[in-house]
Amino acid sequence: MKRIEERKKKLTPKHVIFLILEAIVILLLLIAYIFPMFYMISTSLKTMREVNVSPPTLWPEVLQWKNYAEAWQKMNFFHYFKNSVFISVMTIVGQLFVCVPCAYALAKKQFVGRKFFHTLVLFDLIVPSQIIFLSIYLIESKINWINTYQGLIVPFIYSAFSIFFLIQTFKTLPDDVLDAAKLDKCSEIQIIGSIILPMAKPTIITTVMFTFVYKWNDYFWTSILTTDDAVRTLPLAIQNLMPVGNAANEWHTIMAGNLMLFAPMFLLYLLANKSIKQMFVYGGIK
Amino acid sequence: MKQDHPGVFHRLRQLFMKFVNPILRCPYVLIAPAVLLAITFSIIPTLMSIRNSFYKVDYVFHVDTFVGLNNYKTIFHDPTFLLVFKNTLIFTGVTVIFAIPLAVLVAIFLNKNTAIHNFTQSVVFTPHIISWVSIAALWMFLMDPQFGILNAVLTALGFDPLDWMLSEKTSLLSIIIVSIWKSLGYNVLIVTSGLQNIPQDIYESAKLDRSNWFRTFFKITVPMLSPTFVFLVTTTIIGTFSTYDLIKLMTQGGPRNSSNLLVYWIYETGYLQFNVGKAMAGGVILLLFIGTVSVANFTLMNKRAHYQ
Amino acid sequence: MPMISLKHIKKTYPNGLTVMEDMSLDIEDGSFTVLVGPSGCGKTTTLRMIAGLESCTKGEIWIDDVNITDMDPGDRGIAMVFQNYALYPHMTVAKNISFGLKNFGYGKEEIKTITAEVLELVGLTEYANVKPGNLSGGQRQRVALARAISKKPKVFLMDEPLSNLDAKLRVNMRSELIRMHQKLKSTFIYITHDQVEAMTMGDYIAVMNEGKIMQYGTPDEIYSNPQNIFTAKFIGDPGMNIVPQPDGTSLGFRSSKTKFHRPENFDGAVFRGKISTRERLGDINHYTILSDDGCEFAVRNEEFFDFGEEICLYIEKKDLYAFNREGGRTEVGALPAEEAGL
Repeated sequence: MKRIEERKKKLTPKHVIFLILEAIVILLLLIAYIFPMFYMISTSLKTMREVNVSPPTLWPEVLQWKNYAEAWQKMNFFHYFKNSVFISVMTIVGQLFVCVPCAYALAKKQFVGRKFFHTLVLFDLIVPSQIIFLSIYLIESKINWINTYQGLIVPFIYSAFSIFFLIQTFKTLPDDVLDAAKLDKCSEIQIIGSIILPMAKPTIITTVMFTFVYKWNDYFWTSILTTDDAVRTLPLAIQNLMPVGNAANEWHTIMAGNLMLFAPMFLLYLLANKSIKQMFVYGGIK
Repeated sequence: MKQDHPGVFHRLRQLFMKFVNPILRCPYVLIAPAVLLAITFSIIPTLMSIRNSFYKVDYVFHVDTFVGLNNYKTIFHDPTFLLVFKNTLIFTGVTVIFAIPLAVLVAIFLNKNTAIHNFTQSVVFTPHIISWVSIAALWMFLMDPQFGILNAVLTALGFDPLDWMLSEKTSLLSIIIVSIWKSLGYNVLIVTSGLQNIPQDIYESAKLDRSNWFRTFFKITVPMLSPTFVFLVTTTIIGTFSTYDLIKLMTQGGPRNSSNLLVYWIYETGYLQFNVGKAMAGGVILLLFIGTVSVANFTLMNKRAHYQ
Repeated sequence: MPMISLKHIKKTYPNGLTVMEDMSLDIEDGSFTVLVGPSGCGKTTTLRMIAGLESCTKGEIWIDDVNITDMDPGDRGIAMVFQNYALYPHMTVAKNISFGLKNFGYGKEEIKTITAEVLELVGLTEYANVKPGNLSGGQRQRVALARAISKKPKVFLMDEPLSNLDAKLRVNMRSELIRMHQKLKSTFIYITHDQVEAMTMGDYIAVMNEGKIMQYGTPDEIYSNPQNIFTAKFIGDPGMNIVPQPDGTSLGFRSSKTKFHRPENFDGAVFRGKISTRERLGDINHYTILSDDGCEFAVRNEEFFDFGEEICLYIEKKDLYAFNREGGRTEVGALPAEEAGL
């Protein structure tokens, strides 16, 4: 009896303060993160005049949907969108053919030099490639891969992160199922395709999504490895809307373009919320 | 094991199994593509960078001159480089000092499983999956000195409006704000997962020991989060040192290099000014920093695996 | 139906460890042969080498006049049932069975027929579209069995298939397996570490230890005529009691032939000791008896004895076994004097 009463007493003052703080924190966070989005949407629907007003207004008088059509056209959206899709998809396909067999061999097979190759293949994890980008650019220009699709795809087919992640998962797959497959006269392709991949489905999905998000949002590499628009991807599209420097006052079109830019990612995020978050946690901690 | 109708497909398969499959089964064949790509796009570039840092690289005639430590001497006397390096250190320091405790604070407050808490966490995480381009465009707008809403709010509250990215004094600050804003969601996620990995019984024995909130937090939560801290600190440091997109899009390093960071400087020096050797020297310095941090991370992570 | 022949097998692992020096074994046509031995004795390695899942460093393996030493596992005419069933978890029961059949060249219709037949054989027809995750251990084992049978192999290899089942189920499955064997008339090679299982199931038993075949023969032979101390101690429940003699040789006797009271016209060995522990197993007591110089005997008897009670064990000469210094079997020579009481 006494203990319960004591607890109840403790509940009131400290807990109330805590709850108030919590509410404040949540409110601040929601403002900090929802408001910019909201403001972006409202700006995208304003007229040029409404945008260039100080102090700025919260909501347009008349919704200017035509801003989106204008942005689409000015940005040449479809062209970049096509490239983004192609490059992201091809990177994922490439990774399936390169990273999966490699992870399979490193996780499940015994051979001379396994540890050595294991370290070699994970080299990229220690050295993030942002640092050696210049050399990669030089290499690609020597083999004339600048401004090509392959230049943007092939280097990323090898992903130390994907391989690392796949190895961790493949290691947990039971060996005797693979033995049974060998006795079932399975070829290596069947073992990888019909046994290992389905058994590791969650990890495969996670890796694919991670690669997709990374490649789709990539601005860095695309700007370094391309100089003309032919193969450029969506993140660079917005440069067509922005004049050089910061004196931009066509914010309405720019915001419209911006929204179109991250709409695909946002959609994906809404659909696959939990798995996306999970994948970043796994990618990080493990 | 007798087949009554060995079709054409099956005969092909038998040939495949006899001749092609043994090749595919060989582990060296399976790892070959990845190894080749790793060598070409990871190891060789690293070696090239290191090598080039000791040379004066000639783009036009492809005649490289060995200059020893000259490039390094040059950059250590180059005021731009020193400024850039200082900026990077400040950027990293401030980010680590503010972003991580902030993430912990937010994670603790959001660590309940209600609709609002989950929703807030999702919202905070959103910028992480959006490209830097969109983020930069958004914030350039918000921080526009004339029409941006941040200045409107500041004036409304009675403060002076800032020039944000256009002023030498505040450009680095602007970058820092945007960077922390974007990364908060990810950091909170990591801390949350770290918090959830703390076994509940520890808290219950603390309750039995009549420990108050402060004591519990500092004596239990913080130590148990230490692997998470280590991870966050190293990731943040590596992230801040690698910042490029934001600079290129928002400030291009200016005004007057006040917001120039290391990777962007390498881009300017090597890519735009064609001074490859010098750029690589800076690159090697960066490499050493990040390499050390990464290795430290790996070792500490492995230690943690043993501990837990 | 083949005879399986292992000729001078040597197995060394990449890290340098040699687990088998020179092992040879001939397995009878159509028999149910059990490989039994303690953990690490090499029985699983042997099985895997027969299956082709592991290579032999030296030596040859023959099935039915065909040298299969370098053949792929799938080409050997062999099917295997694993301890953990090794079913494909993402496929239904029917798919588990039909998956391999396709690789063997069967047509669609044939595969359907065979799958149905085999499921009926193990009594799992209603479970055809269920995934292994939703089956019990016993059912999973039967699917594994069905998968093996569907290939119509010459040899069935079984790696402790019943170890993960509970005791009662194990007994049931044992008889089912024996029935399968009689029905299919193929050669079964069965691994277990449980010598009771070995003795009840096998036509022939190969007792293994440290990569060597200690003895190969029928259960009877192995039980009543062990060729070495290891086999004598390993086989039997309880195993044979071994009494080291002063000259380095040993004598052995089984619990079943031990008497606690001197029989008439006794001509044999006498061993003395004190009752150390007693376990009741239904009607029978299982005693451990400690002799003066520390020898421990395991003897079962219906009679009741107290702890610490002094006991004399009487074994007729014809029931005694003798072993030489190396542990090999010899003739029983002179018996120790009664007074010595060893």
